Amino acid sequence: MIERVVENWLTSANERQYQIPFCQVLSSEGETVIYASPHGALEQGKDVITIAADRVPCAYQLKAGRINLKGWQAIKGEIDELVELPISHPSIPTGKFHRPYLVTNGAVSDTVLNRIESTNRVWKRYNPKPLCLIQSGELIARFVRAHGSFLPRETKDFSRFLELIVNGGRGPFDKEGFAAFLESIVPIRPSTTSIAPRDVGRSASSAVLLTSYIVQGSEREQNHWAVFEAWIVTASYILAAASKHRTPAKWWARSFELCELAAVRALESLCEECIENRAQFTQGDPFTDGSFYPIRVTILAGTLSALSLYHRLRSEKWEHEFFVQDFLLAHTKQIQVWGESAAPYLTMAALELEQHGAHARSEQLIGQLVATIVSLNGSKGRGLPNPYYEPEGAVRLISGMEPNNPELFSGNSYALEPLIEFLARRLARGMLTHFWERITRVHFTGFRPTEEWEWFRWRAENGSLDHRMPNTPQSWAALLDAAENAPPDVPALLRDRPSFMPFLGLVFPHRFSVGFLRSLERAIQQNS
Amino acid sequence: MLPDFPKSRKELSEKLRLHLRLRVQSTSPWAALGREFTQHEGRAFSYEQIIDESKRIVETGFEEMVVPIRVEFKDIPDLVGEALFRRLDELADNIAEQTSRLGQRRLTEATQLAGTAIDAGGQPFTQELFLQSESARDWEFDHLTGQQEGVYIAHPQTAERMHSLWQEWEKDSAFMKRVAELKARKYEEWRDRESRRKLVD
Repeated sequence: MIERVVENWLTSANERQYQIPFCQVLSSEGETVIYASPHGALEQGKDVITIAADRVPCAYQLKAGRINLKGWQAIKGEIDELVELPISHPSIPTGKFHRPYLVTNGAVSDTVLNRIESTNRVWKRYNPKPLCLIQSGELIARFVRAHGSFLPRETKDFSRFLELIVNGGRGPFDKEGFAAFLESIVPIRPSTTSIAPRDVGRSASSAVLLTSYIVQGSEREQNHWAVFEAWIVTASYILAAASKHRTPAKWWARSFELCELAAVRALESLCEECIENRAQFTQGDPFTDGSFYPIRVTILAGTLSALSLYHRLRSEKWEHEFFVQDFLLAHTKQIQVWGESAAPYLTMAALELEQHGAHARSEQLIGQLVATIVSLNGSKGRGLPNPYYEPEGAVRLISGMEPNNPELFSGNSYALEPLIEFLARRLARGMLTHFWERITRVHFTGFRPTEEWEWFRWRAENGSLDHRMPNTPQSWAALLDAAENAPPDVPALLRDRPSFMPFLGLVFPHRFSVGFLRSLERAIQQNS
Repeated sequence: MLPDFPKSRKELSEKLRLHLRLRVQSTSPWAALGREFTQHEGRAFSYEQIIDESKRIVETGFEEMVVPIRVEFKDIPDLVGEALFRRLDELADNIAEQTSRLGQRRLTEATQLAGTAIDAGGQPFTQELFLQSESARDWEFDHLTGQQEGVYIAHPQTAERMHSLWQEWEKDSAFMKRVAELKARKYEEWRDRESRRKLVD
C-alpha cells in the first residue's frame, strides 16, 4: 500500500516538491547532505550536494517527468555543468572529483540513455566519474526502503494517514489529526520506553517522508500556511522523540533541519505571494471574505515576522525584511484578535517592529492585546477563546457556529502574564499602571508539562495547569525583577535552537508562556 | 457493520451532552455558581488560596465521577423523545448530586484551612452564629450599585428555616443595627481590598 502512496505522490510532484524528501532518503542511506539549493534554482547544475559514506562528494540534479530527446537537449547545458564543474563548497576540498547524478521522478527514454552513455566518454576529460541516472522505479524503491518499519501499522493509523492526504488542500492544516498520526510513527507512546538512537533517527526520516506525502494537497493549492504548519508539527515531534529518549543530535538533526528548511520555504513562498499582492490580501468569495480578512492579516503579520526573526536569529541577511516592515506598519491596524492563539502572532509582529525601531508601535500592539484580554476575560461573559482554539475554531465559537460547545473562558488568561512581562521589560510602567486594576480580575493560567519532552507534543498527557492570582498590589520593582529573570520551563532542545522558537510559538500557541517569551527575547537580544 | 449515521449521531450526541450539562447546572448550585474551566491537556492543576493575606498553592488533580448506566438492547429502539430525556435527567441529577457533594467537601476543606469555617455543632441557627459567620468571610460588592454580592447555599430545609428566621430577625432593630454596622465595616474592607489593585513602587 505504501508503494502506491509513494508512487502517486512522487509522480505528481515537481522537482522542488520532492527535493527535501529526497535529501531525507539520501541522509537515511548514510550520505551527509551538505547543501540543498534553497530556491530550487540551479546552482552550477547542482540541486543537492552530499558526501557519500565512502567520502566521495556527490551532486544531484533533480527533474520532474519523463525525459525524452527533446527534453534532454533542453537540459543538456545544465547537465554539462553538473558533471564538468567541480563542486564549490567549503566542505569539499578543491580538486576532488564528484559523482554526478541526474534524478527524475519519471522515466528516461532509450535514446537519452544512449546519449548519456556516449557523452560520459566525453565528460571523462573533465570528471572521471560518470553521470549516473536515478529514475522513478529506483526512486520509489529507495523512498519505501527509507521508511524502514516506521510506517502506520494499525488500520486506524493508516486510515488517518490516507484521510490527511485526501483532505489536505485549501483550509487550515489539521494539526490535531496530523499530530495523532505522527504519534503512531515517532516513538513517544508510553509503550516505547527504551529505543535505540538509530531507531529514533529512522522514525524521524520516515516522519519527514510521510509529511511530504501528506502536504501534497496543500502544496498543489499553494496553501503555504498549511504547509508551514505541517512541517513545524513534524519538527516538533522529532524534538519530542529526541528529548524523550535523550538521543544524540547526530541521529535526528538532519531530519529536523529538513523540516525547518521546508517550513522556511513555505513561508518564503507566502512572502513572495504577499509581495505580488495581486488581490490586496483578499482570498476567495468577496461576499464572505470580509469576515476573514482581518484574521488573514493577523496571520500574515505573525508568520512574516516570524520568518524575518528566524533569519535574524541565524544572523542571516534576508532580502524581504523591509517588505515585512512596510507590511506591518501598513496593516497592523487591521489585525483582529480571534482568541488567545492570536497572541504569538501579535508578539512576533511586535518583536519584528522593534527591530525596525518602531518601539512605540510595538508596545501599542501588545498594549491593545492586553486591553482586549482584560476587558473580555475580566468581566462577565464568555471571554476570549483560549489558545487551544485555532483561528477558525475560535471564530466559529464566537460567531455562534458551535451552539453545542458551552466552554467559558472568562476569569483566566494564558497569554496575559507573558504579555505583561513583555511590557515590563520595555519599562511601560504607565501602561501597566493603567491596566493593573483590570489585570487583577483575571487569573494567570499556564500549563506545565511534567516531562520536558511533552512540551513538543500537541497535547501533553501529564502536566499541571497552574492558576495564579495577580498580586494586589503589585510592586513594579518586583515585576521588573521577575520579568528579567532567567526563563523557566523551556526545554534545552528548544533553548539550543532559538531560530525555531518563533515558528513553534505560532504553530503551538498553547506553548506561548512566560518562559517561552523570555527565552525568545533573550535570543533576539543576543543576536541584535 | 449494520447501516449507521456517525455524522448526525455525533451532532445529536453533542446536543444531548449540552442538555445534560444545563440540567446539572440547574440542579446543583455548585455546578451553576462554581467557576467553570475546561482543561485541554495534563491531569493535574494547581491554584492559589489566600490565607491570612498570604498565598498558598494548592496542587491537586481531578476526581472521577461515576454514574452507572444500564440500557438493555430491547429498550434502545424506544429511547427517544420523552423517554430519552427522562433517562438523561436521571443521569444529570446523579451527576448534580455528586457535584454538590464534591463542592461541599472542597469548600469545607478550604474554609477550615483559611479559618473561615464556622461549625454550629448541631446547635440551632442563631443571630450570633449568623453574625459570626458573616464576619469571618470577605464580602463582595457591585461596583456600580454598591449592592452586596453573594449567594447562600443551604439544604432546602435549612434554607426555608433561614428564610423564616430572617423575616423574624428583620423586626429586631438591635440586630439589624448590628447587621448594618457589619455591612459598613465589610464595605470598607472591600474598598480597601479594591484600592490595592494597583501597581506600586
